[in-house]
Formats: sequence, structure tokens, C-alpha cells
Amino acid sequence: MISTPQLIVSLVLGLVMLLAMLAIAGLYTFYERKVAAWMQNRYGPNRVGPKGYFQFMADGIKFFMKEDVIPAYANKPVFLLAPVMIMVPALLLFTAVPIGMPFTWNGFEINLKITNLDIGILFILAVAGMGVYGVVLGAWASNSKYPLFGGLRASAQMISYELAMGLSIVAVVLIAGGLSLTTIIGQQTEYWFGIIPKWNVLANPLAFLIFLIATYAETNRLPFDFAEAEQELVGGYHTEYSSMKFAVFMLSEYVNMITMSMLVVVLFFGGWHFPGIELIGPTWLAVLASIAVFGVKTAFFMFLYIWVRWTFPRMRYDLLMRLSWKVLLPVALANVLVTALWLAFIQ
Amino acid sequence: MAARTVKVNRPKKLSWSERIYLPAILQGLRLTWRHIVGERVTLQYPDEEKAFPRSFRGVHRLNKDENGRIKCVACEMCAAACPAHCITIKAQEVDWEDRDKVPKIFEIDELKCIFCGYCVEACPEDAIHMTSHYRLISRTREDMVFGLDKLLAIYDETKDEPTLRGVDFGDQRVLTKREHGVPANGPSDVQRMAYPAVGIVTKKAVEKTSH
Repeated sequence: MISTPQLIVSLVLGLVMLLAMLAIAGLYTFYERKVAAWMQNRYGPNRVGPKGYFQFMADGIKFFMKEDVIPAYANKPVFLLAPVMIMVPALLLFTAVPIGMPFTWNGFEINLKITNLDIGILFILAVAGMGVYGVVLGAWASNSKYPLFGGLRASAQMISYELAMGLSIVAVVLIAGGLSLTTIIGQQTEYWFGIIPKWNVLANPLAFLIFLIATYAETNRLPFDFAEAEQELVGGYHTEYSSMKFAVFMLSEYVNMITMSMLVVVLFFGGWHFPGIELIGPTWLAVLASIAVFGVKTAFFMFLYIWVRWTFPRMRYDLLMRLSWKVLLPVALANVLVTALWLAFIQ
Repeated sequence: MAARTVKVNRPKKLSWSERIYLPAILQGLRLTWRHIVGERVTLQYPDEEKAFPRSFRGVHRLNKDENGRIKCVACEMCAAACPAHCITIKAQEVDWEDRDKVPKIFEIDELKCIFCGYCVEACPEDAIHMTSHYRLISRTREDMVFGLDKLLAIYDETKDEPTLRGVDFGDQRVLTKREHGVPANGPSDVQRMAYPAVGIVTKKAVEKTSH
């Protein structure tokens, strides 16, 4: 049974992280515009509020004030359901991610995570798979050609890359010996030769690469953003949506990005761990430092999302499918095989 | 006739490092990183304004001479030269020692004006210049018809600013006829011979004639 302090911490953390995710996603949209602008030698939005930081609040107010248009021939119940189907999995994903060092308080061991799932990674894969439903339902329910194309391509793309993602995670799970995210991080807190942390990016860089590419495809970000391919499909699956429903689609995409960044950090970069954390010991300082370090690492990967989006052109659709099935899948399988053999015979 | 062809040497196969695309990806990321930390070229408009060269064609002004009298003699050359027909002039007789006419009405409709500068070029008295002011704001069309008072007031405000000037009198040589058959010694010679009424606007010329 779960102890009471852990329950309280988990509930508080759940509430805080829910609000924080939405707020950070809003700020993330602002930063996307800023960093994109910097890459193009211009300033981003810098008029609304100090240095432009209130821009996403102005956007939020705009979304509330806009007229809500539902196309006449759209399938109304499904049309209204689609944003929900994409937002709920996005907000569920981070419940399994531990954000800080576990500490003891009055004899109780407290983990900074919202749920203590033993099947952490499997839960995350399953829920991320449900995100595809939102895209596909939104596309079909819109009853219009651009969303249809966007939705079809997006569903094929997301499903193909889930395979590669899952296989790269299998390699990580083999190394860690368990599905729970706490176990995976726990395994990465050890050291080789005493100084190099056993982060999975160093243990299995191929899996890291495959997983990174697969997450870009899962969240429909360039270079794989067929679902919304603005130059080709107007808006893709969210063409016919307006005001708050569109805002929900946008926010859910950014929340997904944040969660995927967190996953990359947890699976490959040791989560909240940094070398030397044992020197500070299990004190309040260490816990706060671990949360801060986790935040910094996640922020770097969020920045990487933006950096990659504004650097590379979109992949051609058939080349994208070819990449997934003919390149990533065999490489991921081979990676799993080699990892399994290594662990069996060398460890 | 065979078409002109150029043979391009392309290697048949990509090398291994080119095929996995990763080095090229990192190269691309490095390029955009240099832009991220580089400088921005945007001009933040209301806070920063662009500095215009002397020859910028802004709003017109009517010049006054050393005695504070208007230089314009109402010859209507500017009105004739104007492609947009935005200048309205009515002359009146005066009894000054060097002038017979001054304008009674001199109106430029700044909304019709296309800011081409032909009036400045046409004026034989150096009476009309174009300043570097460009922010013309008003609420009615009538307010944008600048009369004598407004054009002279602009002169009072911009007396010391560099402006676009027409023919420069003084010690600048002004040719009145073309020189045929004379070889040119360079671009300034060509300009001088082709446009005899206009002085050469070079750095040296500007320094020589600036007062």
C-alpha cells in the first residue's frame, strides 16, 4: 500500500505538474517563435509584455474570443471528440515520469513521481499510441480533403515510427532490467570507472538516435510534420478547427513535445541524475538540484525540437516511410539483438 | 544545331558518411546555431529610425534667401514638370529690386505627390527642396494640401538639415549645350555631357557647393 506522505506528495505533484505542463506549453509556443526568429536573424515577438513574454497570453485570449466554426457536413460528435482524444493522452503521459531524486522523510521513502507504475514504459507507449486517434478522428470528422490527406499520412507515419520507438526502448529496458522508469533511472545512476555515469546514451547511442528520430515523427514535428504540412495541406488535420479546439490541438502538440523531451532525458540521459549527486547526499539541496537538472536537460531537448524544425526541410512522404520501415526498423532490431547478446555473454 | 551542354561530374554513389546523413545534419545544425547567436537585422521601427542619405525625397519645403524673403519667383516650372499635377501656383506682382513675381498661392497636394523630385530638378531658383521628413499624418484630405505657410514653416524647421537640392548655383559649372564629338573620360564626363542642366553630384561636388 502506498504510504500517506507519498500519496500527498503524489497528489500535490500531480496538480502542480498538470498546471505547469499547460503553462510551459504556452511558454513553449512563445519560445518557438522567438528561437525561430533568431535563426532567421530577426527578433521574435517582443512587443506584448516585457520582451514579448505575454504573447502566449494574448494568443490565449484571442483563441477564447474567436468564432467557433463547425463545418456543416462534419460529423459533429466525432469532430468535438477529436481534440479531447489528443489532449488527454498528452496530459496523461507525464504521470509516470519521476522528476527528482527519491528522498526519505521521517522514515518514509518518497519518490517524486505521480504514479508508481511497475510497467512505466509500457504505459507510456500505450498512451502515446492513443494520441494517433485524435489526429485520425479529427481528420475524418472534418469531412474535407486537406484534413483527410493530413490525417491519413499522419496515422501511417505515427504508427510506423512507434515500432522503431518501441524497439529502441526494448534495448533500454534490456539494459535496465525493468519497465518502471524509476528502475531505468536507478540503473543509470551507477558509474563506470567511478566517474563516467552509466547513462544509456553512452551505453547504447544507436538506440538514442533511433528514439530521437522516432519521437520527432511521433509528435509530428519537422522533418516529419505531414499531419500539418502547412505548405502542402493548408492545416492538415486541424484545418477545419477554429478557436479553442484548435488551441487544444496546438497545446496538445506542445505538451507531447515536452513529454517526449522528458522521456528522452529519462531513458537516455539519466533523468534527474548528474555525476556527483552522491556527494551532496540525500538532502533537500540534492533533491532540488536534481529537479533543476532534470528541468535543464528537458529544456535542452525542447530547444533541440525547435532547432531541428527550423533547420531541415520536410522529408518526402515515401522517403519517410522508407526510412521507418527499411532503415530504422532493421537497425533497431539489430540493436536489440546485439544488446541482448552483449548482456547475456559479457555481463 | 546541337544544344550547348555542360558536363557535370557527379559521383555515382554517395559515400558512407553521406548516406547516413548524420554529418550533414550536424553541419546544418551548426549553421543555424551561428544564426541564433548572431545578430538581428531588424530595425525596431518606432524606437529606431533609419538614417536617410541626403538625397532622400521627403516632404517639400520652399526656401527663403538671406533676407528672409521667399526665393520662389512663381515661374511654374515645377508645376509643369510634376507628373502627378499636384502643384498649384498663382503668381502676384511685387516691386522688389531683383524680382517681379512671387507666388500668391503655392499648394502642393502631398497625397497626390509621388515624391519623384522632378520639381526640385526643374526649379531654376533653387527655391524648392525635399527634406528627409516622411511622416505625414492628417485626418482629412484637405489637411494634406500644403500651402505657402506650411511649406515655409517646414523651411524654418529644417533650415540646417541636408536636403535634396536641384541645380546648384554658385561656383559649380553649368553647361548649357551638349558637347558633341568630345570623348568622355569616365562616367562623370558622360553624365556631365548627357545631362547639362544637372550638376555632377559627387562627393567633391557636394563639398564644394555645400554652404
